[in-house]
Amino acid sequence: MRAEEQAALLDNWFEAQKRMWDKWVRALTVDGAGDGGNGEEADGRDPLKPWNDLAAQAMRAWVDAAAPLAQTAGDAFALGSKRVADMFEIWSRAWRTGGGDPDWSSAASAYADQIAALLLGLRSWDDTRTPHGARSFIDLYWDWWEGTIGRLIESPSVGHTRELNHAVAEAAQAWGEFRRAATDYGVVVAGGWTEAWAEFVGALPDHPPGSIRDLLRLWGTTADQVLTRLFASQRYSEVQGAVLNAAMRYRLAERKVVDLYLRTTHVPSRTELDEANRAIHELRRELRALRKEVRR
Amino acid sequence: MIDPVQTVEDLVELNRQALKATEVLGSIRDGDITVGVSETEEVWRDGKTVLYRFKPLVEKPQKIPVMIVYALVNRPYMVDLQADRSLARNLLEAGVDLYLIDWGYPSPNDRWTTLDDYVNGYIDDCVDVLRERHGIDKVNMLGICQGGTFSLCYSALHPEKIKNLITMVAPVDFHAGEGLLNLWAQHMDVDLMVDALGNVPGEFLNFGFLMLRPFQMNVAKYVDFLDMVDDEDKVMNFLRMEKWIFDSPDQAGEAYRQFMKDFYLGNKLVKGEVELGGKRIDLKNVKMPVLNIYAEQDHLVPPPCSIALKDHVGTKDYTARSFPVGHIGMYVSGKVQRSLPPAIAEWLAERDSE
Repeated sequence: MRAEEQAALLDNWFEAQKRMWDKWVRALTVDGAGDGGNGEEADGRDPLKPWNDLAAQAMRAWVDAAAPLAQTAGDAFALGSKRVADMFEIWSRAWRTGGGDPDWSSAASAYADQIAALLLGLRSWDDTRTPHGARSFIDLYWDWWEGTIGRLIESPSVGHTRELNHAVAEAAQAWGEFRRAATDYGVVVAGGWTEAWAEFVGALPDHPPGSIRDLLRLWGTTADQVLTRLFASQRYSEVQGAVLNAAMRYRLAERKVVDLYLRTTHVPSRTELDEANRAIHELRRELRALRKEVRR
Repeated sequence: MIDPVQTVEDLVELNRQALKATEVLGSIRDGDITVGVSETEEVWRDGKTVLYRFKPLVEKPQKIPVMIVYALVNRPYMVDLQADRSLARNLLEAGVDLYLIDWGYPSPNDRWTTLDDYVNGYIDDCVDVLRERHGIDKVNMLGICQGGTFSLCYSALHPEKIKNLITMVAPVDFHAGEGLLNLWAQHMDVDLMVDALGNVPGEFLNFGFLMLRPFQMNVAKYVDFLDMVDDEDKVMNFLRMEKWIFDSPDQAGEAYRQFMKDFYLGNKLVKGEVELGGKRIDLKNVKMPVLNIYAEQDHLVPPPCSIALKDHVGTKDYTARSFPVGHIGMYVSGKVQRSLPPAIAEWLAERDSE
């Protein structure tokens, strides 16, 4: 395929992506009557129009009914997705013009900052302790849970299922804490990947790859450096430890529930097997000690 | 900049390599990936722990045998991975009479096995087997990685049974280097993990090792594999390493608990605060000759963690040797295999008399 044909192919692909995102963003501003929120008429010949209308209505219902923070987060998410498409267009244009124009190093940094600011409401990726953005978005769900079903589950039980109910409530709480810790972990790791991408794009002008393998090698080296730096940070170590510990607490809570349930069946539980194995182990130690004595 | 025409040619080549890889891998069965090339015989067993003797390759091996104590974390056939990269084979050819403890694969049955069981139980039993078989009072010990740490503990507790001690890429001062594993361990609740899981899964430890170089170990390695597909030997070497990397036994719960809390987190070995079987370990009791080998580019056991041994043992016959390789390179680097085994054999031969 000739270079002009390849360039035309790339142009068409990016134009298609840009059009798709334009439609999604416009769909979010279209009300139920089909008029464009910015005065433009909706395209009656657009086969996606019924789907766009439905998506817009659903988004409107979801966002309108949510707290202001959720509305902001929803709008920010849509805007952030458009930024992704813009970024890819900048990148491809720069690639095709030989990297000289535009300044994609700055564009890469701006993109990373935009994602941090728009999607997560953070000033920087280090600022993950603040209760903003995605974490608050997810906390909305857990606040609802804890105010309704969660509260019901945690209230004292009566009757012969009392112990089981209590164990289930503890397991549900442990699960919630694990999901929150996992989200915190995911945010930090996502920050690492975004920073790796920004550094990679920023490194391209100084290390222009001669082939796809060179490109991949540069990406791998950059990603490893950035991620290793992230992994060596206190913040990463803390969130990793937190998600691990939360997972173990959930595991213990889950085991209590399973142990209680298995008591009603003929199946031995892990706890019972551990007790049996411990007794066997103690006996083996005694036997080994006796053997040593006899040999002496 | 990337030339579109060159890119297309590269993609064509990549496709060819991918097809060739599919063809090559399709013709290999998992059973074809043989490891542990040297002949061995089982001389003792207790539960899952087995003591093997390597068949000598010289007519008169050295008088005092060497027992390899490997780590619990991976499988010991790394020392005998393939014919041209076998520490065991090279030691045998250099005249060493060689044994190896295989810890096996802990099951939930082994959840309560402690470090005391490993060191004062299994290792001590194996040492007594060697002493009885060869009619000697003392044996030589070669401890590798965590096995080196165990060997030090054993030698400190039973110095009367060890003639010469060799430690290889063994962590001694766990806080000396800036290893990622050390940092990560500080935020893990080890007690919670062992209480919840019992035995700690090998996959969990493997994940940690792979994350030390995330892109290289999880992506780049496999892309580079495509460059090897035309060379059958290289393909088999790669597959052997893959087999070993992902052949990770679970860690017996109580042994893991104490190792992490006392050694990794508490760094109690160099403080003289580790207790096994009610006895405190004092490294000053290690008075037999010591050869300490470490890897200069070791990212799993940073060199300072091994080098620190010199300041803590009581021996007057201390030798350190280093090689410009990583942790795994110590076993599989061709260059190291040419010089390391003869160096070990020579060091032992100088101290072979009773």
